[in-house]
Amino acid sequence: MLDADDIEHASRISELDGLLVASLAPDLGPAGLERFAHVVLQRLAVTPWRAVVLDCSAVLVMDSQEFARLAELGGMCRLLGARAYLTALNPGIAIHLALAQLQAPELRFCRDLDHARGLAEAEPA
Amino acid sequence: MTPDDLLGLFSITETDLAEVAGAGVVLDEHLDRIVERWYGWLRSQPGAMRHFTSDEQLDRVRRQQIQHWRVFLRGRVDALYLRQRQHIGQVHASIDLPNDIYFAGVSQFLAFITECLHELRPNEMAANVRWTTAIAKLMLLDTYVVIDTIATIARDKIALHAKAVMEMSTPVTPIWDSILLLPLVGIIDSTRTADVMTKSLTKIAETRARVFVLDISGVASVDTGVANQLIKITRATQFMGCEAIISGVSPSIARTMVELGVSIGDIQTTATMRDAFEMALKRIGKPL
Repeated sequence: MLDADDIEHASRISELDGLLVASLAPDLGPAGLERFAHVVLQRLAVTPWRAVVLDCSAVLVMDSQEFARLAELGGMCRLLGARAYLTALNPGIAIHLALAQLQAPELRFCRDLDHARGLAEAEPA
Repeated sequence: MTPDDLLGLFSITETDLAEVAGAGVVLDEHLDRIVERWYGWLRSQPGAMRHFTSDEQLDRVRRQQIQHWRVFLRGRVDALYLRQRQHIGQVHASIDLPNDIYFAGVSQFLAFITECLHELRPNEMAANVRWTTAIAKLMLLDTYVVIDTIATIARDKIALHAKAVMEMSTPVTPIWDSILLLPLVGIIDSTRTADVMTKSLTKIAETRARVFVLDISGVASVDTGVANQLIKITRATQFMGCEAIISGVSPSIARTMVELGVSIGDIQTTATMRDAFEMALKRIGKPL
């Protein structure tokens, strides 16, 4: 089982131009996603960030429950003072989420990192 | 299906095939006469001869037909025989032979064979009945193979046309840098929605479009179902980080949606495509 350090390594959490960028690994699974959320929230608790980018470019498949976990993570980030941006969802996942009529008001959806950075700069914290 | 599968399906036994072969021995030298009589019947059918463009062609088909009945009356159903019948089905499909003529023709041929057997063996009534019963069973199998081939060709054509129509009905087009347009025309159902979503989102991913304009001025009618499908399409584009605008909302569509209580949430809508285009340009920071 991966521990928090492994998750952080596998998921590549980094800082970029004032953003905390957390790239999801392709196959985190429910437990891995839970630990991923824990690591992100720990980073936010230690250092205040205005924006967190959850980069999904490596994720090929995402079910409704995993999306719900990410939506919850967006809400928790908001409570810690950071706006959450979900970037680079692939078309297949987007179609699944739309057909399942899922919503995540605490997440902002972006094409890529540049889009997320642009939105983060334009929006008040 | 294999020859054995078909024989089993039509309850044709080895005994039946032997009966057919037995009749074949008796009928062989009379086949020319039966086929000639059959063409006499065909000539009397309105429009049936239009499928023959010349006397040479008619002679050729008649010779092939005699050869077919000779093979048929051997009472052997194997893969080669089925392929030949499938080929006949392909020919019938290509000349668009009407099913009524084909079925009536098969029925008429059976009647001529039956009469011929009774003429040739007037004192063998019981054997004649057994032979004609076995021939009729094999004719049904034979006819099924031909018709099934025609139906398969028709189904393939329909599927091909449906695919072509589907391709033409989802023209996702970049109309400006970072702006995609999809003019929807016709009927929107769940199958079409899935196709529209797949093509639109793939295009959005390819072009990294920032705005997606969905023009519904050509949609036949909008009810709760259609509205929900449109909302799903726009939600999917939003998940990709692309802003969606629905244009071409007529007063009657607006009234219908409000009366049906359809909530469009934060989706942008405009009455005309021009308004949508203007809005899209503003979104990408290039106002008119």
